[in-house]
Amino acid sequence: MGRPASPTAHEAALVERLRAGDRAAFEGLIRAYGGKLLAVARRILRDDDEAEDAVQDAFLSAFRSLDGFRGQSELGTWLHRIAINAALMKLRARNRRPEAEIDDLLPQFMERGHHAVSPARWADPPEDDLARAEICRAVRAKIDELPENYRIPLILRDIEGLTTAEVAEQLGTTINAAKIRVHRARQALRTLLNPRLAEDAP
Amino acid sequence: MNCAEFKTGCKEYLEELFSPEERRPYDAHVAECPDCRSIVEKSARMSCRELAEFLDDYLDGALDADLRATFDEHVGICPDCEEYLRSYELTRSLSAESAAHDTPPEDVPEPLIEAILKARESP
Repeated sequence: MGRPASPTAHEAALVERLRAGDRAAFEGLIRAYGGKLLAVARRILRDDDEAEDAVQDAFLSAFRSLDGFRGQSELGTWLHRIAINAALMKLRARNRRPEAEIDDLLPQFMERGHHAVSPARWADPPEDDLARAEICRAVRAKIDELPENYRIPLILRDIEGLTTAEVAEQLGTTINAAKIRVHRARQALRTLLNPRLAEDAP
Repeated sequence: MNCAEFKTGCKEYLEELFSPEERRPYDAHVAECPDCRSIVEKSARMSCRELAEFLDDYLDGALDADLRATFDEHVGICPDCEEYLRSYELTRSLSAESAAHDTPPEDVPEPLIEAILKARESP
């Protein structure tokens, strides 16, 4: 614990073969990681064709920067970051829509700062696996209902597991701005989940 | 007025939504009851709106000791913030947990593998 993850001997050998231009090694890398990267790109872009393009961009970009892979992180982690970056580039290339606001989904306060509407008591989430999985799928669907400028930071933080600093780096914002985006997105998600999880929910 | 009655109207009292006549028994109760006076004082140190901004830092254990104490103090006297904190914490954990329930990765389509290898070899 506490030590930075170092690539395994197997990974180091694979990187050597990639640097040497071994075609079979490239193919092996795509087969090993392509599925995961495709899933990442689909989560971000929600479009299969664009996701495939992003994965292609990601691998080509990774092949070009193999010399820059210092083994500071695991190969999978390194590729994951590159795929996120490639998918975000595609997302930015789309026709930019004005950023949506989510004020309606944020908690409302009165003049002196008290909650305007008392938050409902939430039931304990179910312990059994099936019911829990069903709630998680519903949560996942609600995340996708958020406007893009809140959905993406939340996906990066909670689904892709990036740190706030990494989210900021991917989005080109300050750490504080990324932190606020994620916080607002979670508040909005809470509002979207409220009808389902409030104790008096039908 | 007793403490239970005070607490029932406490939010409206602190938001100053009452008429002067309605306020009078609250003022009188606060003047004579140290417990309810402490509620008024604690709520003045951090509002619900301010508290909502600190939720992630609180849950991450990133608040300094003074701010954390003020936060805890507020949650202790405010049922609204107690519920909001709980539901926000659940939202956070369900959001992270939902990652495991995403569509599992599939194999890369063969044509995509071919396209990537070809693009790599083309100048």
